[in-house]
Formats: sequence, C-alpha cells, structure tokens
Amino acid sequence: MVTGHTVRAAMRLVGALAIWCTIVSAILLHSTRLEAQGPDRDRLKGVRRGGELTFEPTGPGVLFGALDPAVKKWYVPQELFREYQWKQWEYSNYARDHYQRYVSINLEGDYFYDIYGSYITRGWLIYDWSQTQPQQGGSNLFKTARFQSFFSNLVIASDQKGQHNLAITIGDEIRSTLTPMTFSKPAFDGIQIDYQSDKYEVTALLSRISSPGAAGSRSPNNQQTNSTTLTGRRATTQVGDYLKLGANHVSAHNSSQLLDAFEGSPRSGSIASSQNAENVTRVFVRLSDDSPEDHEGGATLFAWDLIIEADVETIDEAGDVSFARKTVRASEVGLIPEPQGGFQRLGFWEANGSEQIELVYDFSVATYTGPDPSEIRMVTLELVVANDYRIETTSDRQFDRQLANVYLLAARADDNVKDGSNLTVLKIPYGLPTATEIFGFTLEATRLWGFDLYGEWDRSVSYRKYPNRAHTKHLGASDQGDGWMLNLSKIAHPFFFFSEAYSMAHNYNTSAILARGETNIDYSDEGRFFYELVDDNDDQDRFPDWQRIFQNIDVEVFPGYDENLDFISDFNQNDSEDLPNLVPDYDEPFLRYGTDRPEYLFGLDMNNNLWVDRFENDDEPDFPYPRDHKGYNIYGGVDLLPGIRLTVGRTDERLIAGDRENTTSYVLFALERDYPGLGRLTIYENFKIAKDNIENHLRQWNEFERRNVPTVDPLAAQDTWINSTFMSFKYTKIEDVNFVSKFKYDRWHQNERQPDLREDYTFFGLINKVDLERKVAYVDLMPRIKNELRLEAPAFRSEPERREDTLQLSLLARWPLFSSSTMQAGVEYTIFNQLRKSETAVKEGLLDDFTEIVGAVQFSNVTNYLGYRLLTNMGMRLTRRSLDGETETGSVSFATMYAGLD
Amino acid sequence: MALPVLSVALLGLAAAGNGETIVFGGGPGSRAWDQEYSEIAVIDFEANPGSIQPLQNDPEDNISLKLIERGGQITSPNARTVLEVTQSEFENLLDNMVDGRNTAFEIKIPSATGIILRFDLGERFGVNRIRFFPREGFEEFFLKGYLVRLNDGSEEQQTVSGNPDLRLFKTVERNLDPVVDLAVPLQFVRFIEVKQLVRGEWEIDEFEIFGEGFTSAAAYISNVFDEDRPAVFGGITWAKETIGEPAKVSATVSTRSGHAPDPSDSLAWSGWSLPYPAGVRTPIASPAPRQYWQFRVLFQSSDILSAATVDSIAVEVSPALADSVVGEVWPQDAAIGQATELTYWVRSYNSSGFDQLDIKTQAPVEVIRSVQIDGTDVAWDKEDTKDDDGNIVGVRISFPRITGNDRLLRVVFESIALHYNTVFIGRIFDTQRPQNLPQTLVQGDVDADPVAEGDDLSVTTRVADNRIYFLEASPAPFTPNGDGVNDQTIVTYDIVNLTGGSPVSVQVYDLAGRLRRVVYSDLDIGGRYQRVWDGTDDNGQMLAPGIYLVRVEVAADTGKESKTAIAPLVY
Repeated sequence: MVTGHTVRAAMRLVGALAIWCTIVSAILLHSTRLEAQGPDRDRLKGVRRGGELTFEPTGPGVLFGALDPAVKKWYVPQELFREYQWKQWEYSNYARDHYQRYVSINLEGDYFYDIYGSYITRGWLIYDWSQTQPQQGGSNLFKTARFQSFFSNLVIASDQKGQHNLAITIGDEIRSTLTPMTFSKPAFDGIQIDYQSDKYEVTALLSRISSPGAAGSRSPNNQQTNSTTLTGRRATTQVGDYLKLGANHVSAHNSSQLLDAFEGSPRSGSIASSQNAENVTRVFVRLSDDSPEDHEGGATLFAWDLIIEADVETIDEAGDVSFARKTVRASEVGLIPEPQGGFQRLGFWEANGSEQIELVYDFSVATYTGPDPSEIRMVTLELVVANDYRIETTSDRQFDRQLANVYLLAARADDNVKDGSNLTVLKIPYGLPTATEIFGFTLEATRLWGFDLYGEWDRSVSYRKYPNRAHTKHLGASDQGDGWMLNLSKIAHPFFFFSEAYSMAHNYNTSAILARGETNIDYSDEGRFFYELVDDNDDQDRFPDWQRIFQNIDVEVFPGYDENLDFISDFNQNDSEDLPNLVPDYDEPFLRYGTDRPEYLFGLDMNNNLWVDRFENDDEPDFPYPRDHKGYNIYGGVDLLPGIRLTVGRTDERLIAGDRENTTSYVLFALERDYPGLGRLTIYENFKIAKDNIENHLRQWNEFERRNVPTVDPLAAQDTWINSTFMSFKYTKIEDVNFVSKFKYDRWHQNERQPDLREDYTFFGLINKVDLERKVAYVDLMPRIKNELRLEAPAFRSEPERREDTLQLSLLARWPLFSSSTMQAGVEYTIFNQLRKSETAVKEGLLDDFTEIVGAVQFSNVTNYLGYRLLTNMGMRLTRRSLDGETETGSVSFATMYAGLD
Repeated sequence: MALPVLSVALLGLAAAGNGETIVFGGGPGSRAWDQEYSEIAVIDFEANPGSIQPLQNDPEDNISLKLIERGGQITSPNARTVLEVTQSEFENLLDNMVDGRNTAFEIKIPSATGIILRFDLGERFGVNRIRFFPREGFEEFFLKGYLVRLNDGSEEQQTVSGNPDLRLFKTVERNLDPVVDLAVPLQFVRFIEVKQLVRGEWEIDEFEIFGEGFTSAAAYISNVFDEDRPAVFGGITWAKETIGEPAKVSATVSTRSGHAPDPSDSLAWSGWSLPYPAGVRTPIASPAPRQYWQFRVLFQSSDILSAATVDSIAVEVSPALADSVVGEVWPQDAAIGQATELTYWVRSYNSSGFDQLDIKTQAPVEVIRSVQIDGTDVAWDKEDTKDDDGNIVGVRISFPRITGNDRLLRVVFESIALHYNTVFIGRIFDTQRPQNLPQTLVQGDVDADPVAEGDDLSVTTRVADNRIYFLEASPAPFTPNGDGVNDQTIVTYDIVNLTGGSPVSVQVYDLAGRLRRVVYSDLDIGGRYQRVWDGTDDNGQMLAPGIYLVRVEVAADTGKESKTAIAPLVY
C-alpha cells in the first residue's frame, strides 16, 4: 500500500535527483562550453608520440565533454569557433569588433594523409591521378592550378645513392624518347620515371593520353569512365665494355573503368562503353586498287564469306538456359552480299584505279537466319583475293561525327602484283580499335673492332575487339607490322665508312585511337582522336608539326639546322612563341638580305625529290626511315686533306607494298678552306646516277601562295644523271666590308624520255651580296646590295622556265637619341625582272616585273626596369610595289616592348 | 581530217559481226548524234559534223550564263545571314549575277564586310578572263576592295576533306574601277571565290567568265533503245580522233542494258560496262538478253587546247534465241588440273530454236559422256572451238533443235579447272538462222537436280602455291626424220591461277645444260597450252639424237617458277 510518507519520500527523492541532474548538467554544460570556447591547441599541434610531433589521424573519439543530453546541441566545436571564436547561437554585432574576413586555409596548406591513413604533409595538392574500378568516372587525373603557378607545369622528384640515380618527372612538355622507332615526342604530357646506374638504365612512362589534364580547377573533365592510358618502358644494360642491349615496350590502350579489376587488358585494351553502346548490325568491306595510278592489276575478288562466332542461347528439356559457342558461315545462313562497284570478270570481280568493290554484311536482312547480333561475339571476313589489293573494313559502329562510316585499313598486298599469282585466302577478324602496342630491342656497340653499331627491331601490334553490349569481355584480333634498322660505321682516319639497312612495314603503326570519356569516337578525326607515339617534328623544335589534341602545333614549319643556337629556325628568325611570324625571312623586307632561299643552298637529296633533305617538311612520323620502305645505303670516303673530303656511296631501297624502287649511286666532293686575311671558300660537288620512282611528297613553302602547300615529287630521277655544284666565297679582307658570293648549278638529265618531264631540269642560281658599315658623324650607316639570279628549267614541262633577276639595294642608318635611345631608318629598293626580250610577254604562272620600295623608321629605347632590360621599339614600315602598271601600297605600324635578359 | 575514212572502216569492222548493226554518227545513213541523246554535258555537235567532241569555248562567250543549266551553282557562306532573306530569295539573288539581265546581287548594308561568293562552274573550263560590274546607273555600288581565289577542280587541288583548296589569284585592297576586268593566265578553273575586303554598299549585275579551249570533261548519254523484245548484243566498234596532244585526252565508250524503260531503275538495269577499246570490234559486256540498252561517251582532257572526238559507234543487236537461258554446272569443286566429270544443265524458256551449245573451257574436252534433252539421250556431235591464234578455247556440241518453253538440256563431259574460280561460260546458237547472234547463258538454278546446289557455272579449286601444274612432252621419244610419224613432240603445260599475262618461256636444253632452242616466249594467262618442238635448234639445224630437257618457266609477279620434262629425240 502506498502511504503518504512514501509519496513524500519519493517526491523528495525525485526533487533531489532533479537538483542533482541540474547541477550535473550545469557542470557538464559549463565544461563543454569551456571546451568549445577554447581552441584545441593540442589538436592543431598534432599528437606527440615519444616526444615527436605527428599528425597521425585519431578518428572521432568518445568525448566525455560531449555527453550532453540536450535536444539542441549548440556546442559542437568546429572551424569557425576554433579560428574566430564565433558561436552559432550568438548575435553577431561588429560595431565594436569589426568583422574579420575568412582567412584562406590555402595560404597555410592542407593536411594530407596517404592510403594507409598516415599523415604525409601540410601543403598543397599539385598532381593526382587515380584509376578506380569499377566506378563511373573512375579515371581521375587532376593538376591543380599550383602545378602551373608554382612549378610551371614541371615537377621532378629525385633520389641518389652511390651510382644509383632516380628521377620522377611529371610535366606537360617533356622531351621524351625511348627509341626513334617506338616513342619520340617533343612534348610528352605525363610521368617519366628514370633510373640510371653505371651499368643499367630504366625508364617508365605513364600518361592518361586521352585527357592528360591541364592545370586548373577541378572539372568533370578530370574524371573519365573511358580513357586511353599510355605505358612505356625501356631498359638497357651494358654488356662488357662495348655492347649495350636494350628492350622497349610501349602500349597505348583503351580502358573502361566500369570493368572489374583485372577484366581489362593492359596490352590489348578494352572496348570503351561508347564503342559498346550498340551491337554491330552491319559490317562493310571495301576493296580497292593499292596502286591506283597505274589503272591496272587492282584488287581482284574471287570469293567472300563471313565467319560468325556467337554465344547462342539454348534451353534444354529441363528448362535450363545455357550458352554454347557456335560458328556459322554467313553464306550458310542466307547472307551472301552482292559486290557493289568494280567490274565483274570471268570468275572474279576487279577494281582498278579509282574503282572500289564494296560488300555489305547486313544482319538485319530478311534472308539472314544466323545468330542475332546480340549473340555475335566475333566475325571474321574470309576473302579470296589477288593482285594489288587494299582492303578496308568498317561497321555501323565505326563512324565519324556525322555518323558516316569510316573505313580503316585491314590488309594490303605486298608489291604491285598484276597477274593474279599472289592468289590467297585472307582471314580478317573485324573489330574496333582498342590498343596499340610496340615492343622490340636494341643493340649498340661502340668501338667494337673499331666499328660503331646501332641496331633496332620493333614490332607494332594493333589490337581490335568486337563489341557486344551483353558482355564486358570481348573477343579480338590484332595486326602486326615489323620495322628494323641497322647502322654500322667506322672511322679510320683518313678513311671513313657508314652503312645502313632498314625495313619498315607499311602497317608499322605508332598511332593510337583515343577513347575520350563517353564521347563517340570519330575514327576519321586525327586531330581529336589520334595520339602519336612518334611525332612529326621536321624542324626539331618543341612543337610537333601536326595537329593533335592536347598539344601545341607549329603553324608553319621551316626545317633546317639552328646554326646560331637561338631555338628559332634560321629561316624565320623573327618568329617567336608569343608573336608568331609565319613568313620566312627570305620573303620579308630587310631580313631577306641575310637569309637566302633554300633552293640556292647546297645539301644532299637522298630521296631525289628536288628538295635538300634537311629542309624537307612532310606529314609523316619522324621514323628514321619511312614506312613501307626497305633497303640499304652505304658509303665510304677519305679526308684527302684537312677540309677536303671525297665520299662515294650507293642507295638501294624499294617499297614493300609497291613495286617502286630507288637505286642511286653517288659521289660527293666537299672542300672548305679558310684563307686568312682573304676569306673562306666552299666548294661542293655531288654527282649521282639515279633510278628512283618512289614518291616523296612534301609540304613546302610556296613563294607565290605564301604558305606551306603540298609539294609533289615530280619523280624527276627515274633514269637520270644528276649533278649539283655549289661554290661560295666569303670575302673578309676589307674591314667592315662583307662580301658573299654563292653559286649553285643543278642539272638532272633524263636518260629516257618522260612524258611530263623536261629532258633536262636545270637550276642556275647566283647570289652576290655586299654590305658595309661606316660611321659618318654620329650616324651608323650600312649600305647593302644583294643580287639574286635564277635561271631554272623546272622538271615538269607544264611549268614555265624561269629567268629571273632580283636586285635589292638597301640603306640602314642609325643614330643615337639621348643616352639609351636610338633612331633607325632604312630603305630597301627591289627591282625584279624577268629576263626576256622586252616585247615578250611574261609566261603564265610567273611573276611579272616589279619594283618595290620599302621604307621603315624605328625608335628604340633600352631601360633597366625591375631587373629587366626593357627594350622598346616603335615605328612603322611602308611598302610600295609597282606591278604591271598598278601600284600597291601597304603599311605596318608597331609599338613593341620586350623584357630582356641580356 | 580523216574522220570519213574512219567511218567507212568502222562500218567494215562492224560488218564482221552478226545481227543488225546500228551506226551512230559518222555520215549519211547513220543515226545523227544530236537526235539520239538523252543527256549531254558540254557536247559540241557542230564543230566536226558527224562527230561529237567536248564544247570549245568561244573567247567571246560568257561561260557563266549557262552555269546553272550545267549543274553548277553559286553559294555564299555568310551573305544570307547579312541579308536576312529566305533561302529561295537568296538563291534568286545569287542567280541574278549569271542571268544576263539587268538584275543584280545587292549588298546594300554599309557595315557588312567579308561577304564571300563562290561560283562552281559545274565543269572545268579554260578561263582567261573574269569580269564583274554593277548595273548601269548604279556604278557607285562597286566592290571597293576584293580578293579572288581560284581552283581548277582537280583532285590535286582538293583538301584532305575533299573540298576545293582555293588558291589566291588576286588581292585588290583599294579598287577604284567599277568594272573589274581581270586577265587570268589561261588555266582550268572550276571554282571561283570572290571576297569583299572593304566595307560599303555594293552589287554585282553580272559575273562574267570568259575563256578558250575545251572543257576538261564532257559526256554524251544516248537515248534508251527499245528492241521490242529481249535482244542479245554482239560487238561494239567505235572510232576516235584527237585534236591537240593525244596523250592528254581520252574518250571512253560504255554500255548498259535493262529490262525496263527507265534506266534509273537500278534493279532492272545493269551498271555501265568497262570502257571498250577504240578501233576494234569488242564483244558487248552488258547483260543480255535485254529489251533496252543505252551507251555513254565520256571525254576527259588535261590540256585546255586538246580534246578527243568520237566519229561513230556501231552496235550489233539481234533478237534473242530465247527469252531466258539458264545454265548450271555440278560439281562445283574440283582438284586443280585434274580431269573432272562435270554435268552441265541448260534450261531454256520461250525459245525460238537453237541446236548448238558452246562451252568455254581451259583445256580441250576429250570426253563427252552423254547429251540429253528433257531426260532423253540424243545424238550429238562435237568440235573444238579455237581463238584467233588457233588455241583451243572450248567445245561446240550440236544436237537436235530445241524450241518452245521450259526445255532442259543436259551434257556430261570431262574437263579440268585451272583457276580458283573456273567459269564454264556457255552460249547457244541456231544454225538455221546464222544471222542471229549467239545467246550467252545466265548463271542460275536450273532446278534440274536437287543435289546440284551451286546455281552457277563456276568450279572452284584450291588456292595453289605453284603456277605450273602440269608439264609433258609427248610423244617421247619423238623421231623428227620426216616420215610423218612422231616427227615433233608437243609440249603441254598447265598454268594455274594467273589472271593476267605473265612471261612464259619454253626452252630446250641438252644434258650439258646448254640452251639449244627457245620454243616459245610470250605472255600467258592461266590455261592449258601446247607448244610444238620439231627437234631443231635456234639455227634451224636438227639436233643430234639424245635426251633433251624441256624447261617451262613462268616469271610471275611474285617470282619465277619452272618445271622440266624429258624429251628423248631419236632418229
């Protein structure tokens, strides 16, 4: 029974408990508030273990002071309280204590922990690349803005102990070469890891080439589900005193981050999800003539079929579903396409010249009774072909931006067979490109029995896989192309010897097709979807010559040695990265005095295309030897006297997938002598007997169009005697007077008449120039005269003979203003004449006679400013050209400042 | 001009064939070029009466006047945006420049600049002058600054993407002349681009283009000829001449045939045939029998002042022997070079009658097992058919005349296959109507034997690695003593899987390895060949009795191959 005493006692107990709880709560609240009010200095100072400060993570703990049973907890200690003592519940009034803006923690850096949870450092993230599978957007590559602002896009980690050296280089413009046939880029964007000891060298390359990332803020582009990864490695070892062995491997493979770990292949790559979005329903095959110029003996097609491998669903009597691999021929399941195009001969189809034969395997036609496209795992074309065929394949999953089919090369015939004697059965598995791999080895010998040797063999493997939406693993196939080179040389003064042999298969491939996120791959767009393991960089500067994504490009290319070592082509001295100049100096006023056209210069033309090899600009990767070529070159010679050399040699090369060849025998005489007090004499003589019908087309500067244009090899050495003579003399006897005379005479004589060519191609070029420096009063004067005579009968009959003379008279004057300013004025007068009888009209295609006067005035100032030598140029240039009774004028005004270092 | 002579010769050549010969052009009695075409492009009927040739420009003729009619066009990538007009209004405005009337293309928006006009002439013309000007009375609205670029329309002047790579011809930054009259060095031009360089209001009344020489490409497509019933074709013969440099011009003649009157019906019509060579009678390659046919002449020139002319074309046509004749052979695979028994079926529909069958083979047919008509054995006869050089190229089998609908002929014979796809082409003849052309069998399912599934006339062999499959000298020994018995030995050899001619030599060596006689040296394609050696050396002297080696060598494009046989010579 509950009594009143009991009730009272209970009420007292409850009251006491309440008071106790209130007191405890107050104490707790007070204590927690105390904690909240004071910054956790210990936390910020890290954890001290054994007297050493670490920031080892402790994780959230169980805090005595946080055990507050209040519903609304005001006291959770966070950054604002720690740094500024701002409490969430407090009224903020800044009348007396002014508001303090947030202090950026970036100024002090973040705390970073590694994958083990260990504290790394306090600082800033600059580069992070991670690949996470399976995960949407699992490829994450991020360079923060500090990668650029702190380190100018290049960071190098290194270590060294004894003879062992290690460097890890991350940058977006690393000059990187494994070997010239496997990987060579002037601006590699990625990671290069190098190890070197006295005996061994190892290099590893890593890059997400489908999007190597630009330094900046984080964006969705940093994260990709499909990507293309480049891995490269090379190792060398010294064997004995003379030999060095090397091995190389490069792989550029597509990967999908949606696959489980180890599902993809780092060699053959994976089908990207954009490639696998739909099943293939149509496969196209195109046969054409691999040597269309001869209009005969093109592709002949005798029989065709498609072998289909499929995982066909079967249901047994028990109702269990299973899949069985089944192989059928398209011809057995109602799919026999009728060839389109070409011409039907007795028993075969033929495509000559520009004709093409197309076969379409359409799995959606009514007659087709084979496996459903969703079940097909692989298709293989079986073609019975002969003669000079070129076979390309595509499908409705291999397209460009407009979804038009893009054909990719699948097979080419060797040589240029026309009689059907190479009849063969080709099996061509169809698939979408997934990877490019190159592996090989090198052998170097130095002073081995007096010989130097370099040998390299490489095999490129181009992988492709057949897409199927229902699967993550795809069946594939590959094409292989081999390339090798061998150089052997010996110098036994006064004699020297060099030989080179090489073979580069036509399908030796150093291009990779990029899987760029979820974007459909445009297989025709080399600019946006191709990556080159070996770049085209004929002028050997820091920019590749062709347009590829994520790399800068040379707008105009002027190959040649940089003889004054200023990193700028000597043909275009006034070009710079910030202020590009696209016109070579020999076509610019005033500058053309110092720079002569390449036609007037001497050099070797081993491929007989009328262009000196070192001035050639093409659109091909810079392999040591061109693709589809095999052959050798050998020469020997003797240094007759100091500065006098005689060389004799022979080149024999031919196409692998064609029947063209180049056999050239040559003699080269070179003389360079200084005559003290008089000048320098140079004489070169090159005589060749050539039979060369291999085309070597270029992209060279055209003086009429004023841009680099496709330049056709006229094949002027098909059976030809070639002579090239060059003489120059630089006269230096008179102080302050420079006189230079250059003479060049080329003659190519055709032993057999060529319908489009002149019997003799001749070029006679003579340049004489003289300049003088004199000071008159306080004016520096420099009169200059240059005369350029050109008598040329071009190789092509269709091009008119040129008999041109250009006389340039110029006068430059410079006088001081104040102490560090000068004025400069110049005038240049050019008289261009076609050397002909006055009553004869100028032939079509040639420039008419003209006179041109160019006047320029320039104010220059040099000032030391903030540690720089500030150079200011202001002025203008006026041009007036009189041509064919008409006058054209032009002007340029400029104000330019340079922060100089000199 | 030798054209009349050519025409006469052409008729002579054509007369060598059978059937009706239809002659186009050339002179009296033939069909006139200008009345038999369905489509022409820049063809001139007048310059050489009786002939056709590409149009030659008169220096006074404005080429642009027929620009639209020729299939050319005028476009602008940016003017429509500036003018804010509909597409059709815009096209009319552009056409004002080439209509020869007093209407103009006007840009009367002072702030606009950089307007680009592109002219596609439709063909490549030799151009030497370009002229454009505003309307009379509006002379102040001329282009104050302009740039002209040209492209000759050739593949060499195309960008990688296939667009014309226009080359700068003229830049005038300050033009003062209302009438722009540009002298152009004579050159082929197809595309012209004019770009406005200076702001201001302007217009072009007429954009005139003048030139000389011939167009670089021209075409003549004949009417569709209706033979009233299915017809077969014999040979085609045509003659051509050249103005200027022969090496720089070409003219090609092709044919096509169809079941329906409309040649655009690609299901009923064949494609254009390969070009036929000029000056020789060549069998027409278009499928037959067909009721409708057509021919085409294409002209090309890479030289402005050169052109080809076509004088006349003769085509042989005759009614078909049957509405349809289908052939099939079985089996369809054979060992290469081995005699194989083949069954050859011919099913004819609505035949007016035939009594001979030619089968083209690669070796003489020695054995014919049987000939049946509708399942009944019939009497037959055979003879070898030979080409112009006397080589046996097949067999001709005679049998009782077959007429009417759905008749089945069955021939069983032995032959060999020397190509990967050896096609036993067949043709039927009617000896009672020799004026009729033979009719070629169409490959298909004769539906005569359920086992025979091939449905065509080809026999497939394996892909062989070697080119000389068989070599024999027979009789061996032989006795060249003039007694008429075994006086010569016949060297028989099989060349396999060569579709193009390769150098083949047959040489005789003595046992000391000395070359004594070159029996044959020329180009052969795949087939069985027989060469005769009479026992003499290269000087015509009889060789001494003994063992001699006959060596056959093929110099194929993939390498040389030889085979040797023994030829004992005795007296």
